[in-house]
This record gives sequence, C-alpha cells and structure tokens, in this order.
Amino acid sequence: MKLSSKYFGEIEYQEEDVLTFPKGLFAFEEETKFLLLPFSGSSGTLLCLQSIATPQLAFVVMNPFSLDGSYAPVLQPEELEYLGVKDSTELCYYVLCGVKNPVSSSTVNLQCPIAINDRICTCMQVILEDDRYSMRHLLSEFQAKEG
Amino acid sequence: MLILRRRAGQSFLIGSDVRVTIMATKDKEVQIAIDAPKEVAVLRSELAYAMNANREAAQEESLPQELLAAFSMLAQEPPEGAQEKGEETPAPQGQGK
Repeated sequence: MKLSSKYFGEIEYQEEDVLTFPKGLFAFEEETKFLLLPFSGSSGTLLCLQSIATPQLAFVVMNPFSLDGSYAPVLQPEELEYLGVKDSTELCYYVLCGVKNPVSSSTVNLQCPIAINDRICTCMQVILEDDRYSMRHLLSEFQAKEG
Repeated sequence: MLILRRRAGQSFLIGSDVRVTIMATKDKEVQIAIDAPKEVAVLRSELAYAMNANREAAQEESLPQELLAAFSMLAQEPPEGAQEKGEETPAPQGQGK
C-alpha cells in the first residue's frame, strides 16, 4: 500500500506494519492508525510516528532508553490489561518530542509515552503517575549525562 | 485561591449548577462526584495537559533531522536492552525519498 508521508514523501507499507491506537492519542482521538518510520542516521533512536489518515500529521518520537537508560515506565493494571500483557516490561515505549526553534531547546515528554504491544501491534498513550517524569524535559538534560 | 475543608458526604457548589461531593477518602485518594450540566467539560488536569503537550508536539518548529546534529546521544547506539526492544517493533523502511 502507498501513503504520502510528512517527511519521507510517498512511501510503500505493509498492513502488518500498521500500529493501531484504538483510542487514538490525547487530543488526536480520531487518529487510530500510524506507521513508525525511523529517520536515517539515528540508529533507530529518532523516528516519525506518521498518521495513515492524515499525511501532514506526524509526531517526532524517540526511544526513551537512549536518553535515559534507567527509564522505567509503570502502567496501571487496567492499561496493562488493555494492551494484553501482565507487566510493563513486556511493552515497547516511545516518547514524543517537541521540536523547537532553536532546536537545542527541544523537549521530550517522558510522562506520556506510547506503549506498544508489538505482538499484536496494539498501542496506547498513557499518563504515568511518576514524579520523576514530566511532559517537557529539555533534551539537553540528557546530553549532559552523556559527557 | 480558596481552600475548603470538607468531610466525606459533604459537598460544595461552583456557580449555581456545578455541585462537587466528596464521596470517600482512602489513603492518598479522594473519591469525588461531580454534578454538572452536559456543556461543562470535566477533565482530569493531567489529561488536559497531555492533550496540550501533544498538540504542541504535532507542530515542529525545526526540522527533526536537526536534532541528530544537536544531540549526540540520538546518533549513538541505544543501550542493549532498549535496542533489543526496538528491533522487535515493526519498523517499516521510510528513508526512501
């Protein structure tokens, strides 16, 4: 199947690559189907969550573990049940990035990750109840630790 | 800011048609009942903040590729555990054009 994407022009994709968000994303509840497309040169840490229905809607997402190796999201029991797993560690996570101008002031939302059960390609965005994670961490916070 | 003290079973009014009743308290949680007209939106604050954060994230102000030049950790290999998980995720090839 073909799709016109925000960053990669027209792309070809397979039905099995489609990620389903039955509840959509917060404020984008009607957007239920996305593709996860890596930006080249990022080793899979920087990706684009491209809406299938709306070519101009694409979120820049990151692998949170590449920012903070100790990142440990814990979902609520009803969220785990919804995603068909028993434990938060069985899921994959991506976090949304706010790409700012200047780009050095960009932020990342560690409090509202996208949780993916890759066995059934079902996803949901959650709000973590963990004081360590906020919705706007400066990316530069994590760079300092890299040294 | 007005701060009120209420017990379980007691309530208060906001305006003339929104009534908030404290149902029960247990440990750190409070159960609250809200009686409001249909046109009054009742949202958990963090959900409203999450919606705003997403709306903001949908409007990039710079090219995302610029992040790679600005933040070296993005161009590096993620830690082993994360890498493993990343590979399991369906990741269609999108670098095409």
